[in-house]
Amino acid sequence: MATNCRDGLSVTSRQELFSKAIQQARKLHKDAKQLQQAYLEKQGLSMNLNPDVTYGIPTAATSHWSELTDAERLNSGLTAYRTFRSLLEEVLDEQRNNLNTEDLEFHQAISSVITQVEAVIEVIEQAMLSLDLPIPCHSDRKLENLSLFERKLRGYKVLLELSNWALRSVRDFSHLNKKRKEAAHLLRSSIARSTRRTSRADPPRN
Amino acid sequence: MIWTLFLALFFLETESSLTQSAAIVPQDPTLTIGSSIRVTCSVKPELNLKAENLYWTLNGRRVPSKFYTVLNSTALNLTLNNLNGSKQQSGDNLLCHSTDGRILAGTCLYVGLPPGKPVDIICWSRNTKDLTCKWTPGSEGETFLRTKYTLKYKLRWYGRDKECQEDHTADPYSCYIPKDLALFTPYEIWVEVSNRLGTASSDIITLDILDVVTTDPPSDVHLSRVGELEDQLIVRWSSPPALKDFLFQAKYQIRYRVEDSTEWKVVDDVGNQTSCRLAGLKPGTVYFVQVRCNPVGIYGSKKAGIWSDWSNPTAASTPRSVSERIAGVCDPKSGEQNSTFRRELKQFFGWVKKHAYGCSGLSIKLYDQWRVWLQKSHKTRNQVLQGDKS
Repeated sequence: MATNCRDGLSVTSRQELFSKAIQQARKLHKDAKQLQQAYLEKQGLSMNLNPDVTYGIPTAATSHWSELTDAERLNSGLTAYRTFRSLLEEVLDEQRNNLNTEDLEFHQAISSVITQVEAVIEVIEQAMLSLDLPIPCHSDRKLENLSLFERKLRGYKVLLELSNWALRSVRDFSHLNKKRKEAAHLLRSSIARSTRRTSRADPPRN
Repeated sequence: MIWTLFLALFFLETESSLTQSAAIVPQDPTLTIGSSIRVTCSVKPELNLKAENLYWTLNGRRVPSKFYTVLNSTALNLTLNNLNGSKQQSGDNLLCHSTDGRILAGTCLYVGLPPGKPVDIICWSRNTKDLTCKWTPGSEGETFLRTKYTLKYKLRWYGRDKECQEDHTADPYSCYIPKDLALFTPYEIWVEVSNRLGTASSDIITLDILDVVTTDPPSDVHLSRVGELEDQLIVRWSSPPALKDFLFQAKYQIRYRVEDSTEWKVVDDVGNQTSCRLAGLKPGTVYFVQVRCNPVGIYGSKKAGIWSDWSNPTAASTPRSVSERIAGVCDPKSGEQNSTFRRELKQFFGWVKKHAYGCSGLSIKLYDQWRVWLQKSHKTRNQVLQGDKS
């Protein structure tokens, strides 16, 4: 974890960080979507399945997205991805031990998505440090006692919400990037204005 | 576009759970192929759903209502007879829906067969260092259920049971023991198998590692011409390096084929030599050759031995025939070919009479000597002819 980066980043490196985060979230969205299709097929579930279940899965949907502060935005992302990581590990475990025990390629695809989620967690933490925001502690998730069918459904819902969350993160980081760019532009303009004022006030020396 | 997705998502926030609206009994049952099951979907009375309006789907297909029985206003039974094996390893999906298609509850059905007794266990050890075993699943074959095979082994008289840990990913019916194997003491080896419907165990086989040794393929395989002999090539190789000091009685086998054919000819009387001359080949033709080794009698084993894999193919071409070289490439007609052969044979016997009189018998070596002599005399004649022309 990047705990020693508290000195903050320059505007350029922060922009680079946000761009990296956007790229990672885009890739995660794409891969989670692909995995969703494979998942449905392997579980014999139908394409138009729309389970009305939550199982403690973070939902990307929010009605006050534009009102969120930077801290709230990054915090909710971090909490969501930490939960996704733990849920995906359970999904992988279920597939390995109960549902699709011999499909190693499929297990590998889930592992790869877990790695991507970890990368997004890392980049969100870096972003929080760069903005001098405190990184919240991770609280353990309560394990649920579910039937095998419910586990199947939950796995699908996890992938569905993960791809939605990745899309929301693309939007979150684009928003943060835009805000920083605007702030940097304002700062540059005010410095230029004050420089002009100073040079007018000081008479030229002969 | 992203915003449209978000707006769509706002309406998906819901807190209900499958377990809250309805329940299916039994949950995730395991059944034998051909058996029957009765399943009940019970909805919560406060949902105001009528049992008679509910319906079932199995793997996404609606189950006809003739199989339903309404138990009471909130419970609907389904009876499924003569079940087929599960469609997917993760289990068949049996769902209870409300009229509008919403899933109220679900269960997985695991339909299959108990495992059969594994048979035909075959093991081999590469260079005495490891052990790989393969087997055939029981007579029923496909069980439709997750079926776990475990290869177990122990030293015959005093060992503890050990489990083979490394399953070969490509083959579920094999396992690899990479190390810690003893020689000169027999192992007892067997396969245990289990699934949701039962367990079974194979017969125990007894083997000493040295009786099932296979080597690496022979190394440094080279193929080269025998002077200018147009119908022969010689193949040379070295013994497999890992066991070369112990292969006193090893046997080798060679196979060869022409470049544009897939049909191999096998020479299996090579014995313990590490070279062999291939005769009767076509002139001006590319040949591929491979060699393999059987470590017969290694460490005093009395068993037949297991052939190694074939070495990587190595290639060489035979020299073009003299007539081709003199007159250019063409296909002689069969009559001409026959008369050429007769003429050559006549020449050969004349040569034997003159140069090899008193030899104990005709052999391929004698024929080779004649061919070399013949080519030399052709060469001399050509040189004389060319000298005349100039």
